[in-house]
Amino acid sequence: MVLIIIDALLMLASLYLIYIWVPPAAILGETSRIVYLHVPLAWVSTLAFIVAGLASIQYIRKNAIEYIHCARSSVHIGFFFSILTVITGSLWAKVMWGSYWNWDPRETSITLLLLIYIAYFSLHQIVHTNPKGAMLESVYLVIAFVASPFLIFVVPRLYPSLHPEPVINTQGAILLDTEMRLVLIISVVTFTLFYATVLKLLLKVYKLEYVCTEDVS
Amino acid sequence: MFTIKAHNISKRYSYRLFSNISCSVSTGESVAIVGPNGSGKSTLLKILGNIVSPDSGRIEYFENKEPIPAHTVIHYAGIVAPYIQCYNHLTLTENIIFAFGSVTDDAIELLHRLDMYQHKDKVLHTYSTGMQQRCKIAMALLKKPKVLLLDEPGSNLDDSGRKILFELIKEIQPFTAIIMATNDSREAKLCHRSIVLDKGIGA
Amino acid sequence: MIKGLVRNIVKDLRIEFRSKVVISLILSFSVIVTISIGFASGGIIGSPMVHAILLWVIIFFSGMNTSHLFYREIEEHTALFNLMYYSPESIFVSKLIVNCIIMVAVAAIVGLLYLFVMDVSVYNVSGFAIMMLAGSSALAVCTTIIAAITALVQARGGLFTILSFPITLPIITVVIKSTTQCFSKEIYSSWSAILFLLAFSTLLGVVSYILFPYIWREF
Repeated sequence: MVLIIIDALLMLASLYLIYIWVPPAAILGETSRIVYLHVPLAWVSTLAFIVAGLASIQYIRKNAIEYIHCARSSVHIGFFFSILTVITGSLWAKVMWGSYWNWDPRETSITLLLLIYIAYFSLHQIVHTNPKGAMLESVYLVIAFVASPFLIFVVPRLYPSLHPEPVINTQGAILLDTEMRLVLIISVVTFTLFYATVLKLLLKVYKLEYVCTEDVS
Repeated sequence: MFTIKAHNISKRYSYRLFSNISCSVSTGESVAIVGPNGSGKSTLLKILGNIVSPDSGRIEYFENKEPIPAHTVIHYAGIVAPYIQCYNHLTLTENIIFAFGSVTDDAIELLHRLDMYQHKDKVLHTYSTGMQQRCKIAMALLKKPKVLLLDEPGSNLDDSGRKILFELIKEIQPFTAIIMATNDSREAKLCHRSIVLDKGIGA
Repeated sequence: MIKGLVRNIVKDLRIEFRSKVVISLILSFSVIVTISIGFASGGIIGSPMVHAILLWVIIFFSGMNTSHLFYREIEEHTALFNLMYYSPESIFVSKLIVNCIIMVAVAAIVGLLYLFVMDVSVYNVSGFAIMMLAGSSALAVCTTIIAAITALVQARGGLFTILSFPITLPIITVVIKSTTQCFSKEIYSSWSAILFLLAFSTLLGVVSYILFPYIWREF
């Protein structure tokens, strides 16, 4: 409960910071405000994938049902966040680069992440009644997890990038502005906390569901 | 000396099959698992052979009093069950070569006793189900298993087949731990002890 | 381990030779697709890039029938029989090798047929041959575990493609790039591509090898 309240307050604060307090970036203008949403969303999509991958490894090692619940919840959240990342990203791309989709390396990476999430859901739909289902899902996620550095760092490098460096883009030199950096950090923290809150809630839901099916039988 | 010790094992699928079963089987002993359809005989057999893991409880395996890891148990086991089949596209000889590398004198003798020798070079899918059952028995026994898991071993066998099976089981009994899931009272009588699972389907 | 490996490979090849399920599915699929592309295009498409993409898409989709190698063991109830004698690791490696053999054969046949039907000229023949060999075996190594997963849930075909696409994309991207260069007059060295394929498939192969025993049980 405390977590929810803190996060709600932080969310309001960052909304104020993003839309009112922080000055627009020099060249990008008012559109630059989307960066404070886009970057945290992309960060959470990646974080959710990492958490899901680690949870799956733990499930395979320990065979405890909590880990698979954690992986599933994390994938659910990551899926929605990566869709939002793609939407905010392509809106911004339209404004800045002139078209919604440019096959830019970062766009390719997030699409691949989205594809992995979709593949996981397809597998989950098919196996969730199977007693071996949880293990199959975990194994798939671990394989994808191991392959992902190649997907994220190698494949995109084969094409030239439009995104500003460094990797988790902070708009390079333009954003060195302390105010902007501060807002970005606050926003990332807020969204990470939001992720943690939702993850906790989903875990509770899964646990209740599991206990219920246990009781019925 | 091979020993299986099970403590308080429970298993449920969509309904609860059984709970808190404990038992112990060693070389030279044989246990029959009996009970009505749907009571979980095969499942208990699979759990004792570490083919399926239980929901709760634990099973320990010992070889000469030394504990051995559960996942290696299958290397000591011979299994005859409806859910296990020899390779249908291979001949019996090829199946034996696949599993053991060569057809030994022991194998030839066993095939003679099971009345399968003259059929050994035919592809298995041309066999009747009774002949396939004989193949499975041959393949399990040739392995010289430390633990023999039999699930309805007499199914599909004719009277002479059953007679041979009973003889073979009696011969191997002093050297092997035998666990048998069965509905047939004659088969159950071969065993020293029995575990009775009394609840039927969905209970 | 080696004994189990050899016996399993011999067994799989022998069964495949007798039943011809996998090879006939794969070959008829790939040949039909190649020829229909030839028909549809009438030999007009010219860009090396397009040829490379089409060629590898055909090979990738042909691979989806290799899950039958695992599915056969489950359908015919021989999986447990096999485990009674050999470790899951040796079963996995033997399937991986058989899968490689099948995929390399498919790549060779589809590659030649494609060149013939579409009238593509290859400027760098040795590079092209190496790419076909390396690409198809890398595909086979990385999709073996996916083949096992799809075989276990008995929803082959579609699911296999969905699951393996995100994982094999690095391979496909790299081989398409290199194959394009073989079809055009550029001088290039395929070593970096081969090194990448080797690293990627070794990594995935090792991880699959570790994970396989966790799914190949409870039959």
